[in-house]
Amino acid sequence: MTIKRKKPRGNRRDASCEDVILDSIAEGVFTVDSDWRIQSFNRAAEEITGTTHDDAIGRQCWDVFRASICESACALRETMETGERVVGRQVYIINAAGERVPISVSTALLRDEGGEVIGGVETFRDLSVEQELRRELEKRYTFSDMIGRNNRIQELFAMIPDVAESGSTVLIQGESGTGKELLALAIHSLSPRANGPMIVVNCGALPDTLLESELFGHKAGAFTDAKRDKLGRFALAEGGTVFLDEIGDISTALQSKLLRVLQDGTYEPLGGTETLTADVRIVSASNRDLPELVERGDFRRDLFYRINVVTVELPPLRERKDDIPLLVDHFIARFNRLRNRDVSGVSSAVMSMLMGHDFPGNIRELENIIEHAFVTCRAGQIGTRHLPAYLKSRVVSAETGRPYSMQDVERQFLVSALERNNGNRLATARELGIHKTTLWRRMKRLGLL
Amino acid sequence: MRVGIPIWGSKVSPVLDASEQLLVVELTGTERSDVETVSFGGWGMMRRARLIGDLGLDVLICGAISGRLAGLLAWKDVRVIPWVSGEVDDVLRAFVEGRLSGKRFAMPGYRGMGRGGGRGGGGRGRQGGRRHGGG
Repeated sequence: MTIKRKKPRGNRRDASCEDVILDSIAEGVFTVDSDWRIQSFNRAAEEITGTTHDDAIGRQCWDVFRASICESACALRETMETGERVVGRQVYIINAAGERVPISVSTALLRDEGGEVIGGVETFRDLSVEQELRRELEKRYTFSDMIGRNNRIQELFAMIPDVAESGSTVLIQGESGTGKELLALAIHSLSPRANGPMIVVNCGALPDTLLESELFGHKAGAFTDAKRDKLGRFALAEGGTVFLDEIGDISTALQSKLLRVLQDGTYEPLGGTETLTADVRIVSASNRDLPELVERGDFRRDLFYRINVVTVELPPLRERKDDIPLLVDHFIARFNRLRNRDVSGVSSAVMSMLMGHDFPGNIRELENIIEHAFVTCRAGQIGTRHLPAYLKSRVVSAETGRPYSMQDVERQFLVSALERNNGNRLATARELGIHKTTLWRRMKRLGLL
Repeated sequence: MRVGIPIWGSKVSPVLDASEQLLVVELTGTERSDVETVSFGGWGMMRRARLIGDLGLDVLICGAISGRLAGLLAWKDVRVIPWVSGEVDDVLRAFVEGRLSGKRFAMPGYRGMGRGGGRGGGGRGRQGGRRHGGG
């Protein structure tokens, strides 16, 4: 790329023809001089980074661009040093709102009319929408999709790396819609097996014989429709993780075979005689009370002990209502990207309604509520008229007859926590991750003392 | 007072989420002694937050930080002064003298929320939200 040397502009009204062209490009573009100072910064670059042209000009590019590669693998430095272009490298930046924005960057040298290198040019494209669509298609979510500031969730986040690194089998307990699969994925992606596949099997969705064939594979002729050999999920997950969802639903016969995999790491495909070995980690989940199933004799005790070397419990949404506003923001941002909408948030009446709801379907239900609202709400705030009918009868607090305030929610949250701990303030403070005097202050402020 | 600061050569690392080294210093009055330099290149967000939380820092001074990492650090009770750029020595001196909130050390795009100006001075310091530092 060749451009004329020019002074940085200080005012958009003085924009040159070159600036107008740069501003008309949908990709972010900036140029730097040999001291890495930004010389031009187009409109798309302003939008993607959240930094204005005037703030950016003259600053060194890493302070403005804030990319994950600035420090360790700067694409522009690579181009400046080798003269080679970098094309379409995928990284992320931190925008001015503190959000990680996935982008694709390309770089080239900048020469003056005499062919002398005077700096570099970097173009970049926001991949948020593409990434969201791809994830939606592939149902590929990461740990970053787990949202929560609630103490129990933060405590969970803090222990995930240790659990992931341990390599132990993990049992995730939690109601439907609490994010068990997402947690399993987080454990897998932080584990030494992260480069291997994670294969998900919903044990509750398949009849027994089909499930056996799915898990262990089958040989041709093993049953009527088995025309040829088929690999099972354990074979497909070689070197990775198998996530067995709804493990409480499998038959006792299949439980024995699963136990063998866990004990010896071996199994036989359906209709086969050859014994195969499985190099997989097993993460399982259930929304049923497995200890109770064990007591009733519906679940093998030895298998139970094998699968729950580590147990992680995901709290239901009704026990972490302080996360509802954050989750609402997250889903609105996501559906805005997916549907190309401009919804700004929810009205206070809607928030009151959501805070007063028990969410038997947990986070998935909240997501469905926001998705439902997006059918009729194209821009602005989501109002009560946009919500599913079953929620509309819950507009006001049953106790006070007025809409819920944040204080009501906080009071309810504290009362529930105190109830769970039989009124013991020290235990409650410990559960909430706050000091007992902070708890006392909050109880006093909320009229609980 | 124990202060952490992610470093890139002699500068404050531009992105805490992707920084490779963290310098830990002990400030006593105007005296500074470097305690250790911790490497965490290539580490994910949670391991990073856990390590920083375990260092027993009174303050972490850093460049850009994602709201998510800021949230994890807030939960770990780490006071964060984000969106700071410049030479490490200058930044630490400005922090000791309570001048860190000045425009000189602010990253472009920063809108003036949530930064403390220095030891015991100004700002809420702690970052807890997804949206912070302007935007």
